[in-house]
Amino acid sequence: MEAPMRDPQQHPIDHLFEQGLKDARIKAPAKAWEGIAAAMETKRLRRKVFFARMTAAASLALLIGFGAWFYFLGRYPATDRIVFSTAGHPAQHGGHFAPVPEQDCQTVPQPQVLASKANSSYGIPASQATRIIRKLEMEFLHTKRVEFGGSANISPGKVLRVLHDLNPATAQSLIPFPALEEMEKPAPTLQANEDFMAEFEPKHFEEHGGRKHSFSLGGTAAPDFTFASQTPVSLGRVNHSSKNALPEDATDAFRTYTPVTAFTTGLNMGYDVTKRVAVNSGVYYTNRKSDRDHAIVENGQAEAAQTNFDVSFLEIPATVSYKFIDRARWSSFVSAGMSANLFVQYNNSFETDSGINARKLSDKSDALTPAQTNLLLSAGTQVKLSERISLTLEPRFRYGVVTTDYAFSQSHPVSLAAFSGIHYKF
Amino acid sequence: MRLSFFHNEEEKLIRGLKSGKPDAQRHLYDLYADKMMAVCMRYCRDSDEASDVLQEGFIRVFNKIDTYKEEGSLEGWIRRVITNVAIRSYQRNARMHVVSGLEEADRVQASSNYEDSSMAVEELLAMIQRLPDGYRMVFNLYAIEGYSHEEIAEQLDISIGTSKSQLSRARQTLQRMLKQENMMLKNGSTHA
Repeated sequence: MEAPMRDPQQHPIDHLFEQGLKDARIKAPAKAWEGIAAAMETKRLRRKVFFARMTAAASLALLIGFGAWFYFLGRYPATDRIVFSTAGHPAQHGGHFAPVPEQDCQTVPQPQVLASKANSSYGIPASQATRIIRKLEMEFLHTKRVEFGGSANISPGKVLRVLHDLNPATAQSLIPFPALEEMEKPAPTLQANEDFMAEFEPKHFEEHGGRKHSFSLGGTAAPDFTFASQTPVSLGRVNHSSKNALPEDATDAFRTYTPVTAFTTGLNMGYDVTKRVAVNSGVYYTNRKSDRDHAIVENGQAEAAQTNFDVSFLEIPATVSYKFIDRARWSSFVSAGMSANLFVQYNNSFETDSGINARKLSDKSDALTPAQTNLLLSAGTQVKLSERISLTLEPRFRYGVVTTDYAFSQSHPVSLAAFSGIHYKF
Repeated sequence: MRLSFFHNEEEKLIRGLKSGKPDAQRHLYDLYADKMMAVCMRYCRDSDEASDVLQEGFIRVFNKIDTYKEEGSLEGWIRRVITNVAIRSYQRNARMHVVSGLEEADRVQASSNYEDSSMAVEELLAMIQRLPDGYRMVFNLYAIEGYSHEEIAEQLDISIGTSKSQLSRARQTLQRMLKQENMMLKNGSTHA
């Protein structure tokens, strides 16, 4: 029985060829599958290399972030002025107290602070903790010199090759050796594999004119809103110790989650690892100020108090970004990484009126004192104005994961900043 | 029962493809390679070019399987992907090929080397392959795939008028070829 015509008006020639050819079968040549299988295998290998590269990039970002952190921590200036009352905490005396006179305060060198912290928190003797810190610092510096002195043009394939030469069993467990050899071969240039190659192989992509410029440099500026503000440690301790004595309405005044608005500006740098993946860094400058009037209540006596701080810091980020939409005129991306904050200026003061709770405390730091390490998460859009120039809008979320005792009290600072900037590709 | 069995099999196959499993890719190829080879032969100038398009098409199918929404039939989706690859191949080659009569004769000779295909299919394909490239693309897309002139114009980057005129000329050429074929058959039977 003949199949019904698709359209009564269908031309007889069209009908003849449609009926004859629409569901026809012609044996596919055997070599076709061989080509497809080879291309798919290449893709699988390249995906492994891609993930190895991503792991290496993420490790590098962490290394830079934490490396910078430990490096500066090791160089903590011994002249940091951290003010303690030598007369002990007033609350321990259970009664009235007078303002702490200047001569009763002493400057404590930072290593002692670190050691005393280690002693109280982890039960390690102070002398041993100091030795451990120094040893770690020396080991880190030594490792850094060895690695930077001996490395050039490192690729995952080369790392695996070295690993294989050193320890074949471990290398084989990561990637079977024949596959490792495949990884080291130049990429095949099958026309059929072009889409994949363009996405994951930068060199191939460059040859085809898709990505001519790998490095970018740009300026950025951002309004910055911090939910949990920076408060000095000494004030934090005062707040903490007096918290239980406060009436409900006064407690609010001592919350460390005090919103602060600020403005961030700086330079961005980027390198496109592939068409979609880039590693980014830069230097940002932020200034935050806060003047708060609140109450302090101790031993049943309430009194007005003022807390003021003025903080300027440099932020050095290390992030990896991935473009999940990449159009000719615009792209959207997500980004993750770490950043280290270094104080350029840090001043804070706490003062009460001259009543029964009167006291005056102040802290300040030298320049480039490490302050905080942040986890960064962001999503953004980049609009290309020309081949080289593009505009970026990138809302960024920061979460303070590591803070020094020196800089912060009880909270992990959380902030949102709407980074916007312009980039130029080289 | 039988229908749901096949549905489950296809779902399993699609899951395997989306996970990038080599076994699933091989299975899909075995199921559809011959049908898609016939599609490629219709769009291409010879079996070598068709084989290249088949390879590129299946690689694209495997790479883009995540975009298959499982709303239409899997075969229809694969056919569309292969057709698009064939169109891209035609557009790539369009500027490179200047076909001489001799080359065309060679092509017809080469395209008659089929396995397991009926004579009718072979003859129809040979006629389509003898059409000039532009006529062949428009005739395939309109008469066999069922695209409209608007869609064809957009896909091939030509005007609607060009699509219509090329279809008309393709039909005339095919009609002439069919007449010649009938005359040859009649002569052949008279001689016999």
